[in-house]
Amino acid sequence: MSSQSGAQGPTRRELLRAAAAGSLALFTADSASGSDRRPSAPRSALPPLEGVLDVIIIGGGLAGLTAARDLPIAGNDSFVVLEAQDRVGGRTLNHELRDGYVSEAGGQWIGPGHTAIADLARQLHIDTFKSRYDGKAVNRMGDGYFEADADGGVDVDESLVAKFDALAEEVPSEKPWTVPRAEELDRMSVADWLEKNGGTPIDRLTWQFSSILTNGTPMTNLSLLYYLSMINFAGGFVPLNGQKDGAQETRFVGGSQLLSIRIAEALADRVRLATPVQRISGWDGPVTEVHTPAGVYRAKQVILALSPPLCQRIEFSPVLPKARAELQRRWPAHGPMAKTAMVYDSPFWFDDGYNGQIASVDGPLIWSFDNSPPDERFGVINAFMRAAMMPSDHDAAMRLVASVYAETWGDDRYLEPLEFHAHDWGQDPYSITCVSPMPPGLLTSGLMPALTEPVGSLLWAGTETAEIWNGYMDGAVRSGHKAALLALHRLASAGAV
Amino acid sequence: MFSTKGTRSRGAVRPLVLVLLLLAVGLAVLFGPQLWGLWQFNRELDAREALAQGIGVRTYELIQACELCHGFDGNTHSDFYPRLAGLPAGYLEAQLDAFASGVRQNPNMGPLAMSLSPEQRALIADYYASNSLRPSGVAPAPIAEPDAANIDLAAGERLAAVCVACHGGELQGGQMPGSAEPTPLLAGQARDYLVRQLHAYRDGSRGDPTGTMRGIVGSMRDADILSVSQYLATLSPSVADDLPLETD
Repeated sequence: MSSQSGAQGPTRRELLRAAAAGSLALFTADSASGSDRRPSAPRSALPPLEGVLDVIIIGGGLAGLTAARDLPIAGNDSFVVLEAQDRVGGRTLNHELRDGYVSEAGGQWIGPGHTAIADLARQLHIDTFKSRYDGKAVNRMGDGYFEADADGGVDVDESLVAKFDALAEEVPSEKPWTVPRAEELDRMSVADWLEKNGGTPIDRLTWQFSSILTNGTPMTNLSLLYYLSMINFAGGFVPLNGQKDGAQETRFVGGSQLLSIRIAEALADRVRLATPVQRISGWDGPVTEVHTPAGVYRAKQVILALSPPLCQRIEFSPVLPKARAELQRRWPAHGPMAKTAMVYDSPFWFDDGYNGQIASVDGPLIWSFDNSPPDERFGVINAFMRAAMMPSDHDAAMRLVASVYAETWGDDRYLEPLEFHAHDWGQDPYSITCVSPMPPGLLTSGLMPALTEPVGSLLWAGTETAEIWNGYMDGAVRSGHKAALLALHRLASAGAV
Repeated sequence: MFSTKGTRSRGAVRPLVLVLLLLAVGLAVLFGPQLWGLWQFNRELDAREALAQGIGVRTYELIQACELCHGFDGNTHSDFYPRLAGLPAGYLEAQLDAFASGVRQNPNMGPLAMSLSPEQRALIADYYASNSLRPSGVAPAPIAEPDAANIDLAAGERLAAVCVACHGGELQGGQMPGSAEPTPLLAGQARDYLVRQLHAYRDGSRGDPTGTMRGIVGSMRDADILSVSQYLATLSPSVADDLPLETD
């Protein structure tokens, strides 16, 4: 209490701040997008459709399938979806557990502002439920650890966050590069801002942790302008990174991939699996040719429901306009995440007062959390992992992750999981990355209009193109609706000529 | 940090000391592990600050972009991502520059390298070069059939003999006499990474200005590539003994 600081090593204030830092971590999960995996409705490569279609949609993730669902609703049945993998869902992927249960390997949460995907789920008769986080969370760093009661919020320096949120009000999520101070804010990294505004080592640790979890990159290489635009669409730092009333609050019964699976089932053989697009030619003419190993598809309009790094893998002839080509070349793709699911016979951590959450500054684990099914028939702990510290061998990885749980919670029951699943998105050639860790300078490079501007017959979709919640599942759905409307409009305009 | 406050009460009323002592023991039993853990956490935090200062704060923050796949010190346990620890700085910097210019293609690395300044790329290269490759302690994952049947370690060893000329007697890499550029270490490198690179040299998708690698790999069959990669991955790095094993 006196002005002298404590007589014992770290002061109490330091300890409390450390505690605050830890809890930080707990709630910074990223719902971003992310994922991929297995065949839902196995349809192998079919011979191409004859003739010229109205629309070809490339990419069977949430964006492409949302667009594909909208077309017949609007009366257009002349389309096909080409998906490279043998499954739909893109960066959403359900690990299939025993007895028909699932645990998500990719994007999995929605929050209060995710109205587009919530609406789609209702139409598909897919229910939602709240993530469970009641109990104590554990924070780890080396041999150090402490526990804190979780409330689903983010425990960070409130005055710092208030200042940050106020700045975010100046930056609309849509076209943030157009605001007056755009260049100044885009030159800075989030780390620069924190340093300027008196961030302490604890603040740095906290913010760094959330930057890596939410954006897949350290804040020193994350554009301040971009992060502010995210804060803007989320309505604040805490709703972006938190669970209670935040972007990590709610899950889908049956897993997030179920949305794509349901849509694809209804579209039947209009979805062509295992049909990777290698080349697109004639996009500057009336009929565009889309080349796949199964043959050539032809259409008047083409929706690329893909991230820019995936568009970059396709050969275009003629070559794309300079700005679009350069944007694809520079679009950041180093935000891959590795995620695991460990299955136990019950979520017994709750009985012991823990909520399944471990936030770890080092070691193989970044952040674990309860991911049990809504009826808690099993206990499931999902975790974001440091891929570098995971053995490639499945069993070795399982033993490693289980041992982290057993050691952290001091309970050998964690050594006996029923199942273990792992997925490293960095090794997935048809996803490449989960989120877009935008570096300083790219938003104000002058290239951003090329992200959404149609080129000949080519329309761009995918969560990256969304005006709000870009990078999230909700953004993917928004972009799909928009692309379908635009394609229909262009078809109608062309027909009128 | 350490004030002298406590010393003033020395010699004060004994019963009070006793009560305090008992109280302390009680609290220690109740909250001891927690306090110890918290105290350790703070120590780790201080240690990390010191580490960052030692490496250089800018470098320390930059390498956190690399850490998730390559490991904090460049010793990834994965078979998929390359181990960067101990690779020659000149080689690492040249690769980052090649990713940035598009000469070497990789969807993750290209845009990342482009987002870094030449100075930042040099800092990262120097940092990883300054670390030592350690045995990961994890065997490469078993290879699935039918490829597993094609792995022939003896053949891999014979094939690796040709690598010595440029990559050194212990396949440790470095600046070789008569060679224009430093070569990467191969002993203990991640297997699946080696497989991908050898395929990329063979099909021409990884550039090879001198044509040396393409000449060597050109005649290799898929099974040869797998065998030599498995052999190289299981070799112990020759330079790893000077570092204590970290207990990540």
